[in-house]
Amino acid sequence: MNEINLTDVLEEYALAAPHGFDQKVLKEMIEKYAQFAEELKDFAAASAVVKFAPETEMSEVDESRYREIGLQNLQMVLSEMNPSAPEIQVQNALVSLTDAAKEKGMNRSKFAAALGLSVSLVQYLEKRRLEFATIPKAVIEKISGVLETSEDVINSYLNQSPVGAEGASFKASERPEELKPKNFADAVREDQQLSATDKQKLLEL
Amino acid sequence: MTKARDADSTRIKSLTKKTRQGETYIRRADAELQIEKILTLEKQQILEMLGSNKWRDEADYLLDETLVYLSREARINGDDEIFNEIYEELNRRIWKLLLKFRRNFGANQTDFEDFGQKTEMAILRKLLNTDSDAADFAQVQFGSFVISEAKGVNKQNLIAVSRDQKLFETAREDDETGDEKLENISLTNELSAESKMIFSEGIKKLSPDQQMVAAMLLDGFQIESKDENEMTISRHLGVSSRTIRNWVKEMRALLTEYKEETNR
Repeated sequence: MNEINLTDVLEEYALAAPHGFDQKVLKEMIEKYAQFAEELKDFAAASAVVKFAPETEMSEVDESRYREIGLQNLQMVLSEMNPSAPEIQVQNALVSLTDAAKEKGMNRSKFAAALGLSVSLVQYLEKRRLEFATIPKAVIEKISGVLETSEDVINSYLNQSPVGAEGASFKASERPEELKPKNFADAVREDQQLSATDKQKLLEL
Repeated sequence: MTKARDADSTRIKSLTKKTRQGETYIRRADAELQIEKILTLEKQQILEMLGSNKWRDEADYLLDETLVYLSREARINGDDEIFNEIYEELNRRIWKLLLKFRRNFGANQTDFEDFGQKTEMAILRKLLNTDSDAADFAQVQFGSFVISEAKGVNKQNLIAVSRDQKLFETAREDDETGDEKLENISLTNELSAESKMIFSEGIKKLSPDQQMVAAMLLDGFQIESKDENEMTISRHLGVSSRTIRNWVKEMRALLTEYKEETNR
C-alpha cells in the first residue's frame, strides 16, 4: 500500500498548478486528500506570497547569523547521515551555545536558568559580546557542565570575534557600537532581569 | 530510487521521480538550458559565477534549481569546494524565502529560527541524499519545495493576518450582510493588466498584511465566493470580505501615489 505523505501531496498540487493558484486543481486535490485540506490551502496561499511578496533585506548581522545556522544544520545532517565521521561531530560541538542547549532540550530561558544567568547575558555569551578575559572561570565551568562538553571547547567558542563581526565587509571605523565586547561585570550590573542578590553572586565569582 | 552515475559529466541527468499518475518530473526549460550551459564550463568559471552575486533579474543569475543540481553533483563527485560555495548561496536563498513568513512569529526570533532550522534540516536530508530522488522537486520548483518542507515542520498556517490587525478588524466589520459579502466577487476581475503591473511593482510599499493580500490577488485568488467550497482570501485569512476590500482600496490609493511618483 502506498503511504501518502504531506510533502508528496503538496508537490502534486504544485505540479498540477505550475502557473499559480488554480481553484479547480485545489478543489480536486482537497476532494482526493481531505486529510490535508488545510495544508493544501495554506500551501497555495504561501506559494502566492513566495512568488509575489518582495524579498526582505537582510542586515550583515542577520546574514552572518543565518550563515552560522546553515552551517550548523549542514553539519548536523551530515552527522546523521554519517555518524562515524568524527571531524564533523567535533566541528558540530560549538557553532552556537543556545543551539547546543536546544539539543539538550533547553530553550534560552531554561538554559539561562541552568546557568544562573539571565536570558540577555546568555545572548551576550551566544553572540560573544563579552570580553573573554572578564568572563569568570566559574561561568565557563557551568556552561561546560550544562552542555556536557569540555571547558576547552567553551573557551574556544567564547574567545572568538563577536558573532556578526567575522566576514562583515565594513571598515573598522564603521563597526557598529553594538558589536564591541562588553566587560562581564558591566553586563551583569546593567542587566534588567537579574535580582540584586543574583547580580551580587555573579559579581563575586 | 537509485540513480546511475553518468559517465559523461557534461551531460545533464534526467530526474527520476514520478508523480502518482506515473509522469516523470521535468525541470523548467530555463533551468535545463542553464544547467546544460554550466556543465560545459571549467570549475574555476563555475566558482566565479557563484561568487558574482548577481540579482535575480540579471543575465546569468544562477537559478535556484540549477544550484540544487550542481550541489548534488558536487556531493556525488566529492567536490567540497564547489559544494561549500553552492551551499552558502542556497542557504542564503532558503532563509530569504523563509523570511517572507517571519511576521508569523511576532517578536520571537528564537521561534522563527527554530522553524527555519527544522525546515532547512528537512530540506538538507533530501538534498544530501544523492541515492534518492526525494529532492527532484527542488529542481522543478525550488520555492514550492521549500514551502512544502516548511509545511511539513510547521503545523500552523504560514499565511495569517497579524493578530492585532485581525482583532481590530473583526470588531469593526462583523456586521457585514450576506449581500455585501458578495459585492466583491467581481473585484478581482477588476484587476486589469495595468493594475496587476502596478500591484506587482509597488508591492514593497505596502504593509505586510497588505503585501500578503496583494500577492494572493496577483496569483489569482478571489476575495470571496458564493461557492462555499472555494478557497478565498477572506476565508483563508478569517477576515471579512469588507475588510479585504477596504485594504484593497487603501492599497490602490498607495499604489496610485507610488505610480505618480515614479512617473514624475
